[in-house]
Amino acid sequence: MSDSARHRLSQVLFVVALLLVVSAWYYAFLAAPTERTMGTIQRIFYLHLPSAFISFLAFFVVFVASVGYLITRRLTWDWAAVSAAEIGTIFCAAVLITGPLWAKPVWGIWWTWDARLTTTLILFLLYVGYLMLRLYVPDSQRRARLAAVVGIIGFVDVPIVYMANRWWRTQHPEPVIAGGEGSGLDPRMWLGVLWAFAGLLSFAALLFLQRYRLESLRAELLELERRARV
Amino acid sequence: MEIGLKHLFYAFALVWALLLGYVLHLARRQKHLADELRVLKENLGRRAD
Repeated sequence: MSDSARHRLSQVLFVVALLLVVSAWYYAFLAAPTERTMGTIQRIFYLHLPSAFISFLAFFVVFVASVGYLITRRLTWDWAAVSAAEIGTIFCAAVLITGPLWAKPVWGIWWTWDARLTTTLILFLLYVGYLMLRLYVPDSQRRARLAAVVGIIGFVDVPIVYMANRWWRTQHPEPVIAGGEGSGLDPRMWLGVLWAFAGLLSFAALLFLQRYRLESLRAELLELERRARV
Repeated sequence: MEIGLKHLFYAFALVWALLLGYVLHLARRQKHLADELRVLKENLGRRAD
């Protein structure tokens, strides 16, 4: 993608993300129904759940890009992988921030070592490790190879996090999406979740484009430095 | 303030502070690299002349 096309796409994404996020906030705070037992605090849901899905999606991109790199050995795949890993880690941190803030008034505790919470923390630490590993390997091909292996192995935790409250008894509530009989959401809450998801997803896409550009600038700089030394 | 409302506010404020902090961090890194690139290109251009 050329620089001007990327710039134009970034501008469009910025406007779309801004409109969607502001309207989703309005909906989440003022228009969505108040949950019967938890009350106002349940509105964290409109930030917590979309953040979780975006982090899963970003880690899936890391997985695909890592496989792409190992097959083709093209560094552009590695740039996509590290960009997605950083964004996934940020959104996973958002899940770990909003979760305890929601848990305290509802469960009476900030944290418990149940399967869903623990596997989410492990997921976050895995990708922090992925990003740290990259800092300590100077050679770009070697760094990309090692990171790709970690990116692929790390993704194994994503389905475990997703299934944790289906496989084990957890403090974390039963799934409301695809949770089987008796689960489900009020259609107005569904609308709020999808709206917030669309807003955060367009924001994440914008971050991805900018982060990817950073990698391409770095590569260009390294190439010029190499040429300057010759 | 009701405790639920306080936690709701903290959740939204902290997450958006995190996201905006990341945006600023990205912008600073991009600017730094773009400046370095510009200087290097100027130096190379001068050397070519």
